[in-house]
Amino acid sequence: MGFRFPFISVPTARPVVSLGGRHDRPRALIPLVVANAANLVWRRFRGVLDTGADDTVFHQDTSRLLGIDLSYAPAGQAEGTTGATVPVRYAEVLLQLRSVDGDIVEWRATVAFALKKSSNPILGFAGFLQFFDATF
Amino acid sequence: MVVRPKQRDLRPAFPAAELEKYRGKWVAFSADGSRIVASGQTEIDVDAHAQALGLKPADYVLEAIPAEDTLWL
Repeated sequence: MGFRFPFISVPTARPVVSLGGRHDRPRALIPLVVANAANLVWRRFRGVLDTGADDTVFHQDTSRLLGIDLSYAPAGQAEGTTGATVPVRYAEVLLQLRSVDGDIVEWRATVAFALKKSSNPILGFAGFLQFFDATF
Repeated sequence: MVVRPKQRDLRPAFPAAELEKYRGKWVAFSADGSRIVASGQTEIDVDAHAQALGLKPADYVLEAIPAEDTLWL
């Protein structure tokens, strides 16, 4: 079973210098389902595939949406390429991918929830890429 | 063997002018990605808005629209 996802073209307001002035940035945004492993409340997101990310990271708001209590969850810290650090909490979720042909794959994953600037989920190694052979 | 880089030319999946209205916000795209059915400052706001419209989780996909044209690192 394999999954293919095209890069998504995200329009930009200004020309992108590094891409010869084009007005969009192709991004590896892929649709996925994330569910609370305990109560099966789920939502669909578009997450960013990031081969440079150690963990799979959602915003803390996502834990609220799914009803995941992070009060006593294992804690850690994440650092981005800018050097800024943010606290994270870990919890188990169910992740699911669906292909356009209807194939479905679902797995349990321990992912991080970060109190960071609100942005799309980051699909890194732990929790996501560890389960796949990914080619770009 | 010479490996030549492949140029990826993609058409925007969504009209740029329309997307401009939602910079810095969270949106709920329809399941097929063709339209935005709800928007708000946080994913929680958008989700509540979508549910208030009678939509089910299968009907929409949550996504953050970056506020600026910053590159992602």
